Order: sequence, then structure tokens, then C-alpha cells
Amino acid sequence: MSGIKEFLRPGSMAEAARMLRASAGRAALAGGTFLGAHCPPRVTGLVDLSQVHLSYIRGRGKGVVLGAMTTLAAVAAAERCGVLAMCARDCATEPLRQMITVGGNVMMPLRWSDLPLVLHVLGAEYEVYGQGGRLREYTSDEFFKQPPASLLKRGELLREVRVPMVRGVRVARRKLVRNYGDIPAVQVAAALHVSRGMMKNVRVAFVAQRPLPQRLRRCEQLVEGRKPSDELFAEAGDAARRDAGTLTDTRFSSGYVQEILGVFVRRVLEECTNE
Amino acid sequence: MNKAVKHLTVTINQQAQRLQVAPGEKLIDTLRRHGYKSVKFGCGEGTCGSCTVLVDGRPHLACLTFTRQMEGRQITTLEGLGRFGELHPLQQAFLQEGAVQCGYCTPGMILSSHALLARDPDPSEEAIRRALDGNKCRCTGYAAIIRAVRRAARIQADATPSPRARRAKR
Repeated sequence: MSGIKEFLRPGSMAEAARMLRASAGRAALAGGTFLGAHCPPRVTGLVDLSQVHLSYIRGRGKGVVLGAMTTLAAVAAAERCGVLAMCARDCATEPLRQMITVGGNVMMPLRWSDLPLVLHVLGAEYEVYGQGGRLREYTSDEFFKQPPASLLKRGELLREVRVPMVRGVRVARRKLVRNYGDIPAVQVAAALHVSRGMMKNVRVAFVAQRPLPQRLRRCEQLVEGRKPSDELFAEAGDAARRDAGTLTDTRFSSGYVQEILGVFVRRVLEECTNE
Repeated sequence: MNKAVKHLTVTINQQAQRLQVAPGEKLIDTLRRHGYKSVKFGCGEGTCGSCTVLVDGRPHLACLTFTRQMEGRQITTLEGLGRFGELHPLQQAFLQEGAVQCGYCTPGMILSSHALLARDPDPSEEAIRRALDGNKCRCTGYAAIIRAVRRAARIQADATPSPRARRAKR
């Protein structure tokens, strides 16, 4: 039996913020794939954001700006989203891509979410509609330092995600799953530029049992500004294993997951630098 | 009447309807309550695809969708595709290829395939696999289903006159 007593459909950000502020039991409803399956008992009202005009994709330089209510299917179909579109095509399944929104996916990252990790290595920025309509921004490092929902006070909402570069940047990712659609034991992604044979602006991150993406900084520093080579990538994999520490999973031994993390780091770096 | 229960205007299978819906009611429950029994409950968490319907022509999972989200939208269930004695090409093809065993996943499979053929009338096997990646079958297996979608694409192509034939008819 549903505990939902009210369903509200605001037409603007200001109205949505007002509705959310008015009662602690109200929750913002984006695509609904989380609340539809696991609505917490404390939620007694839903504020549906579908009429708030946050479904848009705008080009900005070599990057894109994604409205928080843009679906993964829309990102996957948008040529201007470049590498992000390619990643979105591999996220979840077809009906879920039609429902999952960018905002919902990053505000409620789960260990099987694909998008937060990719946005993290692409160095995305997140704009929040705060108290009194004041806007504030977070870098990806700030945003995923803690569960992103804890950054928002009641009545505040994520407005858009800005991805600085989706063209000219190379992205690769891998995940350890037993079969298609399985919850990954570990996911790894890397983004970098290759300039005059050197790797630049390298960002490598992973998600394991903790659903927040974490950068592998030692590994990034090791490869930054250097020429790709098998030896260097092997070294980067070792550094990543040390950076990540113990990784636990009920299906695989922690040693195995850690080992695979190192292998994946090597492979994503190889893939990013393959001509 | 409970104050929270409101009327909702939606189009189901091309018929405008005004439904009484409680705030937390799921689309699958609303549809089944109104007789659209092809919409099946499976996992209840968006994994199996048994509850797939089309919303504005795109696959959507009715078990995760709150019915109130559907205000003003166009919903298509399997009942909207074919009728007894007048099957949709996808239904014909699923029968001819033996792509149905227990049949529980079939409505979702057919609707996902319908959305695919609407945007890509001649899909590759890879495109069919991707379009059906959210629909799980646990008895027939996927080979016959993929063949059925390809067959349906051929049936539809044969039924659609070529531009030349259309010009000749005029």
C-alpha cells in the first residue's frame, strides 16, 4: 500500500522549490526509477518535475549543458553530446534510458549508475537552484565528495549539469559484471586528451561498493604529460590498486576485485590512447 | 471520495480517457484495473520489462511509473496494436517464428519491437538486441524473438508500397 498522499505538478522551479519547502514529507520526482521502485516510507508527497522545463541539451563551446530532467535516451540520441552520447547508449536498458534523468541519476548515485562516473571523469559542473532562487555551482570533486543530496537544503534542486568538453576528449570505461545488467563489483573510467603524443588532462576514477565515484589521483599524476606505453599503463594499474585500497563484494574476493581494478585502469588508458 | 484521488486525462490506445487515480498509484495497477491485462507485473523494479508500455511512442516501465505522471500523455498497450482475427505484423511474426512460449514477456517484447520498427523499419540484429535489452525472456530464448522482429520488419515493408508503386497508383 502506497504511503503517498499527494502528487503535485509545479510549472516552474520557484513553484517546485516552494512546494518542497512546505513539507518535509515531499520528495522531488524526476524520472521515477528510484522512487517508483523504492519509495521510502517518510515520503508522503511527490513533486513531479516534468513540467519545470528542465529537459534540454545546449551546446557550449566544446561541451554541453544538460537540463536536470533530460533523459539518458535524449543524451544518447544527441550528436552534440559527443562522447557522453556514446556512454549514455550503454547505460541501463532501453526503457530505463527513456525514463532515467541526468539529474535523478547524479543526485541519487547507486553503485550500478553509469552516468555519475562518466561525468566525474569529464569534470562536469553542477548548478543548484538554491534558497530564494540563488544559483550556486559545484565542481564534480565537490559534488561527489558526499552523497550529493546532502548538499541540498529542503526546497533546493539541481538545475543543470555542465560538461566542459565532449569533443576532442577520449573516454573509456569498463565494469566487472557476471552478465549483462548485473550490478558491477567495480567500474572504472578514464578521460584524457592526446596532444603531440602526450596524455593531458588525465582523469581516472572508479566506483565500487561505495556508490560515489572516486578519482585515482596517484594514477592520474603518473600518466599526466607522458607518452602512452605498456610499461606506464602497467605502473598506472599498480598505482590504482594501491589508491583504491581494499574493495569488498559478496560475489568476488576483495583481492580479485582489486586486481581487476588495476587491469581495467590499464585497459581504459590503452583504449583512450589507441589511434 | 478520497480528496487525494483526482481525475487524470490520458489517451490509452488512441482513446481519450478520464481516470480516477490515487496519488501513489502505479501505471501498471491503473491499466490492469481498467482492463488492459496485457500489461504484466514481473519484478516490480524495472529489470524484467514485462510491464513495458509505450508512452508517446517510447518504451516505458509501468511498474515504476506513477500514473499521475501520465497526465496528457499517449499510452499504448498491446491491446492497441492488434485484434482477434486482425493481428499486427509483429503478433503474426511472433506466432510464425514460435517466439512465444509462456507468453508472459511477449506484450513487452512486442511493444519494444514496435517502438524500434517505428524509428528504424529495417533494423540490424544488433539494433534489435539493443532495443530489447530491457525485456527478459526466461523460457523461449531470444533467437526466435529476434527472427520474429526481422520477419515483422519484412511484413511491414511488403505492406508498405514503394514510392514508385505509390506514384503509379496516383
